[in-house]
Order: sequence, then structure tokens, then C-alpha cells
Amino acid sequence: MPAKPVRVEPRARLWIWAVYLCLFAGSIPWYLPENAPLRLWLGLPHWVVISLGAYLGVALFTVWVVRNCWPDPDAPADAAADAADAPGRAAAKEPEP
Amino acid sequence: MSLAAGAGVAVGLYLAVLIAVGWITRRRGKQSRLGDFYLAGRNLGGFVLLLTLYATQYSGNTLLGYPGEAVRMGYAWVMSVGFMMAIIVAYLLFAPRLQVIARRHHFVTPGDWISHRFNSPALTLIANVLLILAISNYLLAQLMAMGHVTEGLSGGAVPYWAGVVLLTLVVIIYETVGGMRAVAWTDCVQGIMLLVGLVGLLLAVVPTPGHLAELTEAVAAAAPEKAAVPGWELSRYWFSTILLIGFSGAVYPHAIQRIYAARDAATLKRAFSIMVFLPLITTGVMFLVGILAIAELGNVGDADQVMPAMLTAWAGRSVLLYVLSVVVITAVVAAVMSTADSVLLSLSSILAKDIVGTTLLRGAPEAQLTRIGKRLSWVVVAVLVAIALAPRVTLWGLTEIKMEILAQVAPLFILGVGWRRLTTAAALAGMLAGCATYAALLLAGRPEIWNLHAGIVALAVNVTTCAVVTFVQTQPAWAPVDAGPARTQ
Repeated sequence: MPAKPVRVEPRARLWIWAVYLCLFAGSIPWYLPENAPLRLWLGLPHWVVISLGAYLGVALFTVWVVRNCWPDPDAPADAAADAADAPGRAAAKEPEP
Repeated sequence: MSLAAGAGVAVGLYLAVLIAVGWITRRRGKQSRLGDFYLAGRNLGGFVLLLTLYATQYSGNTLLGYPGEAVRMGYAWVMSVGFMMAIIVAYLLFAPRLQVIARRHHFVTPGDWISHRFNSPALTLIANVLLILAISNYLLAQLMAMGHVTEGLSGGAVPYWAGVVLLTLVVIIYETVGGMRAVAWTDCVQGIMLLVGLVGLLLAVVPTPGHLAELTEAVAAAAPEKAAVPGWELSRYWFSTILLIGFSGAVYPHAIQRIYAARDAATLKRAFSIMVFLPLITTGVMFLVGILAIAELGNVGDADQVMPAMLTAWAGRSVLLYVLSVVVITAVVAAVMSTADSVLLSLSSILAKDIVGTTLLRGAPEAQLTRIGKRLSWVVVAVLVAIALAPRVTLWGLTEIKMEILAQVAPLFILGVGWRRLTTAAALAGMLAGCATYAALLLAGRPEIWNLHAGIVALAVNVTTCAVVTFVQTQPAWAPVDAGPARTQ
């Protein structure tokens, strides 16, 4: 059975941006105490390893999004997306009475 | 053979290869049409697209400026991995749609999208002026990097000015001879050099966990603040930098043109899927080089000389490190030149098609505009070389200014593609408000507010203005005529 064509672009899926927000927020160690003693993970400060882990998560999630949520332009385009091409130009050509 | 001599031979061979590639690509397609010269006939395949995106995105700033920032900031510079990834994430906001529209309407420049979407010559002109300012600044940074690279890595044997002039001359020759084809194929050579050099360096000098632990403890002892958990102030700066680089890096004109030049969506998707991992082995390696430099060099006077100093130090330790240092030096030169050629080509296209082609030579044939674009490249380069010979700021300083200007154009792409209701007046008002805010903050001596970049504060003003003006303008359209009395809650 052929896979259902993807129609909604990543920009319109709020949950994708929520996941990115969590990953990027996790990469910044704002949630760790500032005066914490130095703890080494793999030879690096632990917060650096957490940060790198979050960025690896960003990369893996992006691959998933690109593969599964990027519409195939050869699929029948939806009318709304086509109209979104150039609303400014359309409005200029067809002024309202 | 000294490192400077070995690197000189490798770089000389490399420059000869670049000119040869430029000459060969010239024969592979018509160069008289704008789409052919500036976008390689809109037919870049996956391999070439990936490497040209990669070589273009990582520049002299990355290889020379970033280790210096890591020395200054310490482990918190791991943020550089994140903000380079943020660029790819930001593409997801507009690239899927923009690529389809660009192919349908044969766009050549970023201004083509702005003109198509908003149908406002004033808006397009102002956006183009901002783009020209930003990427001229970027090109200037590359020219300065050329001088730093040659001077630093030759131990002063090749003076700064000679490096700027020689490498710029090579770039301008193959760029005007072969256009985007030459740039993309030389980017492939440059991208491979960069990858080989950095991965080799990673394997050769990046230590085991045990060695890293010793390094971290040494850094923590010498400068505890560089290994400590960042405080709220630095965390806000980190957050601001991710936003700034993510939004502005995604709308680099030369990156937008690579979206236009992709053969199809599948090619673009494949390129992005790999690109998103490359910060880990590019800015990640530069971050580690900077951390190593803290322990090995201590405080370095000129931040832009950290990388050359580290390579010179490593080259004396073993034959393998000598060879890798030569490869990395060539890769550094490659990174600088690959960004310079792409930015120069983009600048030339905007000047020829969007500025001259809409004013002095309105309606001129494409062959004439292409010829004008090539000549303008030489003029632009001459002016910027003159400025680069008397530099007054560091590479990272130049990068930040450029990014903050570009950020004010980002809503035209991100909101322009994603928000159908956005009006032309709102986009124009937003961009002007953003630019005015940024200029006012700079003039007031406030490059940061609450540790957020002035450009991000200005972008917030920009987007808010877009939203308010759009809602005010479109209210009659979305308030139903027979909606009755407004509900109150």
C-alpha cells in the first residue's frame, strides 16, 4: 500500500517546533546551578556533554522531519498552498471594488 | 621542509586546481543566461549541492574566528554547534515551499522572491540594500581572513596584503570565468579538503576521554569560569545567538540561491539531512581546538591567530601532524575562498539583476546583465580589498554585525512564505522598524539588551510590527459581515 502523501509542511506543524524548542532549551544549561562543582563526563564538563547530546538530538530529529514531513512537490498541490504563493501580487492584480 | 614551505606548495597546487576547474566548467554550459551563470542552470545534484552548501556555510569566520571565541569564552562556545544547526532548522520554515515556487517562476536572486511575494519595488529595493550591506560585510570578512591565513601560517613570510590580493585574484578569475558551475565545483574541492582536514585533525589531536579530562582540569585550574556552568547572563546570550544565527544564516542570499539551484526537492532534502550533522565535526572541532589552545597557548593577543598558532605548534610534533596541518591549512584557505566566491557571485547577481537591471538597464537582455554582473564583481572586489587592507575589527565582530542586519530581512522569507495574510505594508513597516531599532541601539552604545543581541531585539520589533500592521489592515476581511455583536468572555 503506497504511503499517504505528505501535504502539510513542517512550518505548519506546531508540535515539531515544540520539540525543537525543548531540544534547544535543553542544550543551554540554564537549569543547572551556576556554582555546581566540576563534574566530568567523557573528560568534558557534564553540561557540555548534555549540550552536545541535545544537538545530536536536533540533528536526528531534523532528519526525521525532512524525511517524513517535507511534502513531495510532485504530489497534487493543495489549493491553499498555491494561493499562498503571492497574495500581495494577486491583490495588486485584482483590486477590490 | 618547514610548515610554511609545505603549506605554500599545497596551497599553490590547490589554487592551480581551482583555476583549472573554473576553466573546465566554463565549457560545460551557456554562460549568457542569468539562470545558467548564477544558478548553474538550476541543476545542482545532491553531491555538489551538499558540498557547495557546506563549503559556503563554513567560512574564514568558522576556522579562524571560532577557535578565538572558544579561547575567550571557554566551554560555553559549544553553543557554536547549536547555532550552526539552527540554520538548517530555520530552513524548514520556508525552504520546502520556496524551492517549489522558485522553480515555477525561475527566480535567480532573493529579490525575485520578495518582488514576487510582495509586489513592491520599494520593499524589494530596501531589502536588497540590506542584503548588499550584509554580504559585502561578509565578503570583507573573508578577504581579511585571506590575509590572516597567509600571514599567520607563513610565519609572516607572506604579508597580510599579499595574501588578500593573491587569493582574491584567484577567486575573481574562476568566478567570472565559470559562474555558479565553477563556484559549485570548486566548492566541492574545497568542501572535501575541509572535511578531510577537520576529520583528520579530530582523529589526530582530539584526545581520549582521559586526555580530555586532564585538559578540562587544566582549564578549570587556570580559568575556572571557562569550565563552570554558565550563569543566566551567558545562557541568555547563548539563546540569543542561536536565534540570531539561525534566522539570519538561513537567509544568506547565496544560501537562498542554492535552494533555487537544487535540481529538485529530493536533492535538497538529502543535502539538508547530511548538512545538519556537519556542525558536530566542523564547529565542534573548532571548539575543541580553542579549548586545547587555552591549555597550550594561554592568552593569545589576536583572537584570529589562535588557529594558525595551534597548527604551527602541532606541525613540529610528528610527521602525521605535519601532513595534517598542511591539509588543514589548505582547508582553511579553501573555507575562506569557498565562502568568498559564493558571496561574490551572489552580490554580483543582486547588483546586476535587481539594482542595475531594474534601474539603468531596465529590460536589458540577460546576456548584457550577465556581462555587467561580471564587471561589477571586479569593481566590488577592488573596493573591498582596499578596505580589507586597513582592518579595524575582528572576524567575529564583522560576523555579528552582518547577522544582525540579515535578521531584519528574515521575516520576508519566513513570514512571507508561511503567513499568507502578511501584507506588503506590514512587511515594509516591520523591516524599517527593525532596522531603525537596531541602528538606534547601536548608536546608543547598546549592542546587547539583557544579554540579547540588539539584532534579536530589533527582530522582535520587526515581527511585532508585521503582526500589528497586518491585523489592522486585514481586520475587515476576517471580521464576518454578519457576525453580530462581539462575544465577550
